[in-house]
Amino acid sequence: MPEPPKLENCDRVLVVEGYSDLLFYAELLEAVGKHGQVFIKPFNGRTDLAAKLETFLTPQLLAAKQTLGIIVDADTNAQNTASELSRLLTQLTGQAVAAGAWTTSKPRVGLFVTPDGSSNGEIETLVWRAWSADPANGRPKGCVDEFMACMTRAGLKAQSPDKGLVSALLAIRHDEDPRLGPGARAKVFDFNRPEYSQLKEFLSDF
Amino acid sequence: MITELAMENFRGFVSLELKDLKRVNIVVGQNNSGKTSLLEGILLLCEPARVSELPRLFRAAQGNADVRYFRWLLRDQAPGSKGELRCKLGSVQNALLLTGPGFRDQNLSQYIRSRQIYGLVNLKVSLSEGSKEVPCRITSIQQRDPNTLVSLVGKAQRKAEGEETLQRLLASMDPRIKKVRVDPGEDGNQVIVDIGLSELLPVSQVGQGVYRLMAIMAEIIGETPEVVLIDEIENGLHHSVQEIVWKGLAETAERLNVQIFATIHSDECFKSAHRAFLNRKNYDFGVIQLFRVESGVQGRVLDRKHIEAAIAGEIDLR
Repeated sequence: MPEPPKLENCDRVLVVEGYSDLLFYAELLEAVGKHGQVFIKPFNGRTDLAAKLETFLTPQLLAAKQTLGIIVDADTNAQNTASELSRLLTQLTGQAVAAGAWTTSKPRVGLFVTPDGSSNGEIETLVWRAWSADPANGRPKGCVDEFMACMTRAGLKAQSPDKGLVSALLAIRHDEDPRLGPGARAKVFDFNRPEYSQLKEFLSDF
Repeated sequence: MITELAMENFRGFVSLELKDLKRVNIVVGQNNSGKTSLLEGILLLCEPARVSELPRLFRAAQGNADVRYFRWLLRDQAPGSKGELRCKLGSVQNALLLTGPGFRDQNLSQYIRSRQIYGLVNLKVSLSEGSKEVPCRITSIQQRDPNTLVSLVGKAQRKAEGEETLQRLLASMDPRIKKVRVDPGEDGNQVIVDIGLSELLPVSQVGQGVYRLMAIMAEIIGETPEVVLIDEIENGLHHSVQEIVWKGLAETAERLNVQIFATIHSDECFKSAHRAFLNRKNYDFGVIQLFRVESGVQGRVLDRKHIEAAIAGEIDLR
């Protein structure tokens, strides 16, 4: 297995929320032909994201890197997430950072708010949307929906419905580790689906 | 306590400004980022009269100091051949002007008067009026030989309440410790401790962490500095005792009203220091992070929020 890239050896950096995201975006970067070219930095969760970005994005790092991408989930308020992060990144980098776009100075800075830049949700929202839209997955989709509905009737609801849907799918398709990242690594998801085009386009600009 | 620092054209610093400094500050950065230079600058600001000692304090000294050391104290090709060091200590501001052979500008800053305290071909140091001398001690957490430890503990004990202070500090690290004293044994003087056994124990038997802390605590009690500088604090210190050492330093700094600046290299040492302060009433701990960019060395002070973010996000600060 090839060694993962090191921060000091890569001039392109992608910041993501957690380890599962790291694995997922590593697969997606491979799908757009950027395998091994980008150092992916997981922040072990979204808590204190602003403080983590302030700590990580030192003048030294910004001077040394060519490209810096940040991908975070919109969660319950896509507009707020996008505007707060744009404002913070603008302050930290000295460039006008806008969600969904890349700046043009060095380092080029890009921000993407999943699932699609404007909706609430998370990366699992996009993944479920893409997987469930595939006609080949019609029947299993029905099974997963039924499972979730049954659990709801039993008084149990997933904290994050989209995470729950994806995890339920992966409980069968990749039971070793039913998380998004390991599922992506096991090639459960078809990154050729059109639902991924916006995110792939963002990553292609690395 | 020094709350703010500024260094311009000093060593690799073009314009370094550090605000909101804490009681205990660790200095982190890659190799050659200026960690030792920062300590040199702090010493100069505290005790400018010790400028002639600088060459051998932190670095291997060799040859003509004016050419091999002082020539490089001012940043190479500094504009106007001058540099400044400033620090704030409460309401007092200490300031030094360093000038090189090419210095011509007589239009000095308002608060710097030309009171030259040191002059060589390659460097002159002028002190501002109103600067306050701050007793500064350069020390080490290295293992001391027993005779040195005896000397340090003896000196601490000679201070009024020195013995009680040392015992209280050590007991805060190891509650078993009731007494510490220098024992004039037949085979030579040694430091012994009462930990409730049938006899007092040689301190070397108590544990590495306590042994090293005793030396530094005794040194601070005996010498009564206001600022303590420790370069490469974790050298030779096993990772398992680092947190104990930091707890001891935190307690010493607070009880003896001492400010500490320590350079470190390892991530584990940084995390140990943070853990040591977590359970204290006052989290009076900060990280000075230095980094080299094209224009020179820059730095910033990280507070608790950013220290915890670095640890949670596994962000390497070095």
